[in-house]
Amino acid sequence: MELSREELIEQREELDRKLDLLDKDKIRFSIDAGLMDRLGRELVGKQETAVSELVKNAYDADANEVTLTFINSDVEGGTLIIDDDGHGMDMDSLRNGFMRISSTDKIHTPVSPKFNRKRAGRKGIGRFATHRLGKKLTITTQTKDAPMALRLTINWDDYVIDRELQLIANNLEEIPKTKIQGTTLNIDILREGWSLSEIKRVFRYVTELLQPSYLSDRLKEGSIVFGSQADTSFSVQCKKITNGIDVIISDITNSFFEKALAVFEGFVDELGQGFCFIESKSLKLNQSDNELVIERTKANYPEKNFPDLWINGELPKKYLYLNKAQVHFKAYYFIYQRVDYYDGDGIGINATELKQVQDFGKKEGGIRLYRNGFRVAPYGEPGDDWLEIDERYTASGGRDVIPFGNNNVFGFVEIIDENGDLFEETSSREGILKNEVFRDLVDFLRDAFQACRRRLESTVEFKEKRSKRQKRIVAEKNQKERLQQLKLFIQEKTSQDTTDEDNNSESSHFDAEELQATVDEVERIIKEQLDEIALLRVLAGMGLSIGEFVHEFRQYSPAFDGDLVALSRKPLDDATKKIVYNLRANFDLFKVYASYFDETVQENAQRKLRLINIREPIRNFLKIIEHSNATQHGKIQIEHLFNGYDLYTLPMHPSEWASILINLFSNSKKAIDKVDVEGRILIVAKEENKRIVVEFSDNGIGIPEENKDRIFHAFFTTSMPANRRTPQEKEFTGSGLGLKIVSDIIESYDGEVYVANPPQGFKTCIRIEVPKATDEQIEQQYG
Amino acid sequence: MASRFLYIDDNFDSVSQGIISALNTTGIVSVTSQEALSWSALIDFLIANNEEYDGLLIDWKLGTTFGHDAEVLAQHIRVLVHNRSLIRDVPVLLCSANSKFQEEFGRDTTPHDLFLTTYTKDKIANHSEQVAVEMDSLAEAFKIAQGEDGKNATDLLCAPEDLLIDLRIEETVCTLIENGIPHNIVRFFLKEIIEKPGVLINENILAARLGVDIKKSSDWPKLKDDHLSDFLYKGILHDGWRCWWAEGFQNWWKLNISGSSPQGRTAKQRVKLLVEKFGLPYLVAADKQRHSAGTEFWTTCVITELPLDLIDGLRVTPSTPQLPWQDERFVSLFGLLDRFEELKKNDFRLSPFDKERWQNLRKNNNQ
Repeated sequence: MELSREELIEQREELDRKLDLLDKDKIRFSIDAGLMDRLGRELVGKQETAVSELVKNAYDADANEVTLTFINSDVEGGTLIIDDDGHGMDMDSLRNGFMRISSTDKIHTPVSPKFNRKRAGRKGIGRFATHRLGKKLTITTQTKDAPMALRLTINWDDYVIDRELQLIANNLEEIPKTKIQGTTLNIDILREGWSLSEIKRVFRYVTELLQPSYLSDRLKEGSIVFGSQADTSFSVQCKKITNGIDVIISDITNSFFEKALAVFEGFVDELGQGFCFIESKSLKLNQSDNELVIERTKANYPEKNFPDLWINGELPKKYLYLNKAQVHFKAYYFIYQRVDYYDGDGIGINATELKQVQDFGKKEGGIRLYRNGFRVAPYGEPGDDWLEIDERYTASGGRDVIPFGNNNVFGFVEIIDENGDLFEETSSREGILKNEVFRDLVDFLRDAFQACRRRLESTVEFKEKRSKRQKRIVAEKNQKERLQQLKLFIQEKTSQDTTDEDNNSESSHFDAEELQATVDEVERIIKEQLDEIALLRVLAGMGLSIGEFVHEFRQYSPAFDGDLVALSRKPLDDATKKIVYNLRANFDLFKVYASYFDETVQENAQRKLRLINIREPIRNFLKIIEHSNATQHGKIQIEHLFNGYDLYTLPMHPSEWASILINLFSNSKKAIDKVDVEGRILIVAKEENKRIVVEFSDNGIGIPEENKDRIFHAFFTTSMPANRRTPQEKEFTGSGLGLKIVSDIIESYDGEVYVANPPQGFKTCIRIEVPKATDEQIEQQYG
Repeated sequence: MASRFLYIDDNFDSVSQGIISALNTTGIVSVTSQEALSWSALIDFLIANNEEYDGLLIDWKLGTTFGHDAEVLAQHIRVLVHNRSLIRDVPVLLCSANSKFQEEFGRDTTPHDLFLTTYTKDKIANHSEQVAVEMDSLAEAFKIAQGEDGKNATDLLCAPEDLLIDLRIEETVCTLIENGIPHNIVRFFLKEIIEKPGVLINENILAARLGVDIKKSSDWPKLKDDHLSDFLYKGILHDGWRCWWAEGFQNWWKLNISGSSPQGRTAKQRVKLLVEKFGLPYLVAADKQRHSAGTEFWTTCVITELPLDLIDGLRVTPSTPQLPWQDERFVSLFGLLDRFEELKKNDFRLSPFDKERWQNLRKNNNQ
């Protein structure tokens, strides 16, 4: 007699009770169905982790291709289909593998049967991942040899608390095969909405799960082949279907890595010794000459800060715990906005490309970690600074020669852990337990990247000087060349017209077009320069008037003073005394300002170039500014720092420094006015590589990235354009010529001026470099 | 009675009036303006009113309408005194509105002898009290130098009796008195005795020898006024320029503080003795400057004017020859490194003896 389902369950419960009676001194666990819900929610934190676990499962099943399809997923309740062509599951493996919680299958068979893939998913997280993603799961799976496919449907909502886990049955049916082999997961009623950008993010995450092919050169030679993007037998596709419209999501290309300014590569050998190489065609560094031995140094790991690292008063230099981990990394380094650095053989990158890399770097820069070929989160994700690269860079306060933050590097670290006993991932699959091995790994990588940075710095400094000079020459040449071109065109054209008059009118028509374009270009250049000259003429005129005014003022100022003093000595009533006192105070301020111009004007009268001890103009400037309105009333604090002596520039005109400093100050003042802060200005003067460097920093509003180059162009201004309502004095300050004048002065001496990284606590730093006087010149100066 | 000065300018205007007001309201001098319309009119006026003024203040820009420069006028006054057209010799001072005029005027040294001192108008307007005191002191000095009775070197120097004055000073002064030109006598005192440390020292050097930091010591004025006036200079020009007898200081120290010279003691040791002796707790020992080693201060740096131990000093040469009773001057390494340019502005050059040392020190400090 066939028993019904309910009768059978009753019988089983009866048997259980009898068993319990028999083993009176024993007790067993029972499992509540609510456990599934809890495991699903707690074991898998993020959506992308969930999707990536499912992709890993496909990889473990020897799939060649996985397709992710998001259907009507913009709001919650949509569908995600994950379809692979792996070996699929038969009834046995479905029952004993997928349906058995904490199955040991992957532990018993750590390598996939067909491709011998090292299995990526391990702890049976997959089923919970589907729970994390959607309320209903339909698995359709078939093996190559089976005649039929299996379809399993799970309603996760059935798994509610206060129900016995074993009592919840899921539908399993045999259906006709949908393909030769493979598994399709239909996750319905998605718990969250997936917008296009979220899908892109997850897809990128999933593709990055696979270690880039270019990393493991060294290890490919070894016995185990790990999953990598080079392994063409595995690929991931992704699409989004909304109301029947397909959108294929394509992967971002990584080809720009080839254009990196420098490539770092490093590893730890069997003795725990770290090595690193730098290669840069642009900077003419080749690997063999730039091998660095990476070791812990006492300076970086002082005993008082790292007591647990030291053994009997000795610091272990090697990364001993890494001797078996086969650590290998490769990183691609970029400096943004300096296209001129990239000029190695066949390297070249244009400004647009570099800008794209920069944008990409903001989101995707950093050092990623791959364990046995698979990405380990969260290392190197945006905001994760596990190697303290950003932290160090920020702390350096812009004193670094080269920018070196996470957004400048795209790095990939490979660790091999065949037996899984070196690096233990946390159960949420997000991070590695912080044991000694991991600590050594972090130390090694941090030390290696800093060593690379230091090596690059010295090279870049040298390069910097050379390239700047070339750029200037090129710019000048371009204008000359364009005119030369124009001349040639005209010559050609006129000779053509006379020799073969009616021949080939088409080509001469083409020439005419080009001729027109060249003429337009020249016209544009001339117009630009005329505009600039016109404004400079106005300013020059103003300069002369100021000179005249200041000279006249000089004659009158002692008289003012004298009379004011005399007046204050007369017997006056208190109110009048106060007025006289005020009058004197105000006149003092006025005088100080005027005297600054006075010195400039008097120096100008000489028109003689001389070595400038940079302290001198800065001190003069400070003397004036201390009395200016802005600093007087405590609105702006000015600090200065002279680093070292013999800070002589090549012969310059003293008044040029006066106008540089006053221009920078007036910009800083404007920038500070725009924000509600206690204004601070820091002027640092020092010598670096035979250049006199002046850094003028303020804590004003700052300069947006996109304006950092433009501020030195004529007429660029962040001030409102002058109009009828602009007060007259503002019309002058907002002319947009201030920094242009600064940069013209500096560049005429083969120096440079640019926006540098501000020191800590400041927003903007204008850095000026001019060549230092030669040793002979300085000796002469000292007589 | 306040000393009477004539302010001579060919373009007299409200500007000059401002400076005159400042000086006059001090009550120390009385300045009246004299417009220089023509050469002969001015000379006639100066001769005719010789009794009515005690000094002249000439504007350097004189000449635009007058037709003669300030230097020419000053030179002519020397001639008038020499040929007795002017019975009374008076101090001739120069002033200018140009702040750089002292530098420009300084380039050609030949006319320097003609003027006792020069002032920028800024200085007159803003330090009118001090300028007036100096002007008055100069006018008084001329009166003394001009006087007939009992005038000898000892009277002019007014040195305390226990001091041994360098014989060469007395000899020079005697010669100048014999020649009878007040201008030369006063000028010698001002330029060769008062302004250059040696037999006399200024306040900064005095403080250096005491080891005291003037700025940090609120008890400094007390020490200075109550205990150091025994050897204060009281000779000719002492009202305008405050200074002390160098030897007087040594004697004072021996008598009041310790039998052994302060020179072998550090600033801290010296100040400790002073504090103990006079019960002035707010005396602070001076610190050495950067790049210096010693605090056995004896002089001041010619650039920073801060106390300097001779072992740290680099010798400098003044633009005019150094006379036997004048101290050798020194500059600190920090002063040189920090603002070498000021050495020249202050009329010094690095001594050839110390050039090599400077080069070595500079290199060491730049590495």
